[in-house]
Formats: sequence, C-alpha cells, structure tokens
Amino acid sequence: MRPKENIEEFVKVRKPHVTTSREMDKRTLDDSFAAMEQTILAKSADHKPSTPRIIILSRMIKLAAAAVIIVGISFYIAHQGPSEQGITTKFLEVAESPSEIMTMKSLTIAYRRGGIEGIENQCEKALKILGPQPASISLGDLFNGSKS
Amino acid sequence: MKTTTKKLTTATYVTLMLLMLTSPALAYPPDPDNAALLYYQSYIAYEKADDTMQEMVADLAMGKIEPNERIKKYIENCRGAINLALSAAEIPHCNWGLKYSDGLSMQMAHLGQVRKLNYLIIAEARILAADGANRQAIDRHLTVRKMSRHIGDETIISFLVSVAINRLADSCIRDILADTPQDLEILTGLKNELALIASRPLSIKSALKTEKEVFLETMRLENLKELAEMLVGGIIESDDKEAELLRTADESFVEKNRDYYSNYMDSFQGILSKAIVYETTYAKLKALSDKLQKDVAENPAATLTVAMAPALCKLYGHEVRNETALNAVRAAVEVYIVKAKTGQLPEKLPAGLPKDLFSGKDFKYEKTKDGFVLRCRGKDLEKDEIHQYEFKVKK
Repeated sequence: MRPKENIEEFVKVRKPHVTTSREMDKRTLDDSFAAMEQTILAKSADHKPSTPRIIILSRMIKLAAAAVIIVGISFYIAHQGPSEQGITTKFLEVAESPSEIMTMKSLTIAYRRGGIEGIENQCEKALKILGPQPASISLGDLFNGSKS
Repeated sequence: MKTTTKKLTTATYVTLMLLMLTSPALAYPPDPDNAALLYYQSYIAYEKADDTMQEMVADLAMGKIEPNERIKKYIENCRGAINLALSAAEIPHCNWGLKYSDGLSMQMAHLGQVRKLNYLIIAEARILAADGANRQAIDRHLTVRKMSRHIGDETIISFLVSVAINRLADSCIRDILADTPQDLEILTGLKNELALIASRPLSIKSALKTEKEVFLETMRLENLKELAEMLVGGIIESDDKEAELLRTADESFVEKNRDYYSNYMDSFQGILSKAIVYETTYAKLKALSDKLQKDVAENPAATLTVAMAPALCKLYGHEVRNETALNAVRAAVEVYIVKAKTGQLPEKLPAGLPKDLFSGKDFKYEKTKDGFVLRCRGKDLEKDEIHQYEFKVKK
C-alpha cells in the first residue's frame, strides 16, 4: 500500500485521537504555506517565457492596447452625433447660479449646445434648484396643525 | 285695478332684488381669464417628489414603464395642481407676464415647471388608459396639447419647449388609441378638438420677431462685455477669431454687426413668410445659412450674427416635423372613425385629410398586421429620413 493510502486507512480504521494545541496548529499552517510557496515558485520558473517570447508578447500587448484605444475613440465619436447648431458637441454646464439658470440667455446657450434636449436638461436642473415645491398638505392637516 | 298693478310692480322689484342678491355670479369675484394665473398656482400646489419619483413619472409619461401604486398615489397627491392645470388649459387667453425689457436676462422659469406639469398629466393619461377610462385619458392628452399652445411661440425657447411637449403628447395618444375601442363619439370629439388646436399652429415666425428685437437690443456697445461673456466659452471658443474681434470691438463694429444681423433675420422671415413647399424653403434657408458661414471668414460684420442667429434649417425642421406629426394623428383619427363606422379599416386613405407637410401631399397609407402606418412622401432633409407613424388598432 502506498503512503497516501496508508494514511487514509489509518484515519478511517484507527481513528487517531490527536490532541491539538495553538502551537501545533501554527506549525502545521506554517509548514503548509511554506510548501505552497515552494510549489508556486517552482511552477513559475517552469513557465518563464524566453526573451524573444517576451518581446513578441510585449508587441502584441502594445498593439492590442492601441487597437482598444482606437476602437474606443471611434465609438465615442460615432455616438456623439452633430449638435443642434453644429458648433460644439459638448454638453457643458450652462449656468450654475440659481438666479440665471432659467434666463433667456442660459436657455439659448443650452439650446445651442444640446438642442431641444439641452433645454430639457436645463429645465430638469432648474427644478432641482428653484422652488417653491411644497409637499402636499390637506385642509385637514392645515386645521389640525393650527390647533396644536 | 290700480292696487293690483301696484302690487305686481312691487312683487317684480322684490323678485329682481332677491335674484340679484342671491346670484352666485355676484357672490364671489370671477375666475381668472388669464390661464397663466392658474398655471402659476398649479406650480406651487403639487407634491414635492424625490428624484426616484420624478424619474418614474417621466418614464411612465414616455411609456417606458407601466403604472404602479406608488405613482398612482403620487399623482393623487398632485390632484390640486392637476385640476388647476386642467382649468387653465380651457381658458383661451394666456399671458405669462414675461419681462421682455430684461432682454437676455429675462426669467423663463415657468417653462421648467410647465414641462413638469405636462409630464404629470401625460402620466395620468396613461394611468387612466390602463384603467380603461379612455375618454378621460384622451381629454388629458388634449389638455397637454392646449398647454403647449399656451406655452406658445413668442420666443424660440418657448417654441422649442412646446415642440418637446407635443412629442410626448404624440406618443401618448398613439398608445391610447391603440387600446381604445372604436367609439364613434369619443373619436369624433377628438377629431374636432384636434382640428381646433391645429387651427393655431406653432410657428417660428413670431418667435423670430421677438428674438430679433431682444438680440438687437442687447447688441450695443455698452452690453458688449455681457455679450462676450455669453458667447465666448459659451457658444464660440475663446481662441476663435470671433472671440478676438469681440474683445477689440468698437462702436462701428457693433453698428455694422447690428445691420448685418437685422438683414439676416429679415431674410429668414422673408423666406418663411413665402414658404409654400418644404423642399424649396429648406433649400433657400440652407443657402442663406451657407452664405453666412462664408461671409464670416472675410466680413467682421457677420461676427455677431454667426454667434447669435439661430440655426435656420433646424428650427424650420422642428416646425414642419411638429405639425406633420399632429397631421398624422388627425389623419389617423379619421381612419379610426371609418373603422368605428364600418368595422373595417379602409382600403385607402379617405380624401381631404391633413397632409404630410414634407411633401405637401396625403400620407402614404398602408395596412399592417396590427393596424396601419402613415408614411410621409417627402424626406425630412435635416434628419435625412422619411418619417412614418405607426398606429395600432384594438381587436
């Protein structure tokens, strides 16, 4: 019988009573990690590529990266589409000041930059900033509130 | 005899006095005759929604999601605001009280609010349609159409917001009609209301008139700093030749630019006022626009026009697209009416229906498995496509 099978047999039949301790656990774990590291290092050394292979791989990686970047940029440009006015395709912030966010000037710039959608975005933004938008309150709530 | 006459006269006077005193018309002041006053009240009467609810309402209005209990509850909480808007839409006159004398600094905050209100009403239309209340759903759609007319076309911005709202209304009515049984009374009512709305089309002509006046008033030497702030970095790049011209502008530069802009806008309006055929008008506007682009390379007087004048062909495209879409719905309603009367879709489009404005001809009608399609015969030259409108019929 091989040593591995011996051990299996020993565990199954004899059912050993091993008393473990913190020191014993630590030693076992340390030995296991050391054995694992050795195995990994040995495997890495086996699979280490040769210098020409490294050069070829490096070129391929560079080419693949360049291709990804080119495809990415092309995709971005293709999906931008022409702006409403054809001046710029950017959806930049138009007016941040609450007092100016819905002026004719701000809305005109929003349109020039993003067409009708630009105006709609500006309106959305304004709704979050400008008021008043009270929560609903019923007559009953009003009267109850006034009593308290 | 004399006593009887006296008694009768007294009785008449007493009755008249009682009538006057008890008349409800005199009991309280009349309702506003300006729709804007009701809309403004409506804006402060709806429940504040968090971002998630706002998104859900918008998605429902656009037909992206089905109604759910949370949205229904929210819409119910906005009932006061919706009712005010429904009343406002029925008032013919609407004056938003915009302060045009502020020029480009004029506040137009009402547009954001009215747009939100339209989303609420369209969302409610879809809820009503889902619950089988098709007549009320159609009424809500009509309210939005009327509101878009109220938003108006006094400025290019308000014209564009109206167009955006109509787009929403178009998709909503197509979905409602697809689920509505062919009820002759409902359809005839819809047909008549749409005809009334179409009798006052949205036009960029009046918007251009206001735009021209506001911009000419701004195009003065004393406003040049503000103008440069708006244009440079906003519409033109800071390293552009136009930006440099603005930085070094003098009185003569401004005057020449005012003249150029004024003439350009007059030419634009001239072309539109003679507009008959879409293709010809588009070609003329394109030529005018191209000439400006050419001029600006060698004529500094065109600097402010190239930065401030609207894109002619695009604006004209919005107008034609908007009215053609409405015409398609009106023509479709006639087809639904034929179906309601005969039980069958017609083999060809009835005569004398609203037309495709890209070609000036009747829509091309084609029956499909689920209903029918109305296809334009002319191409939208700005979008480079032929529009088609699909309508489904409830089996």
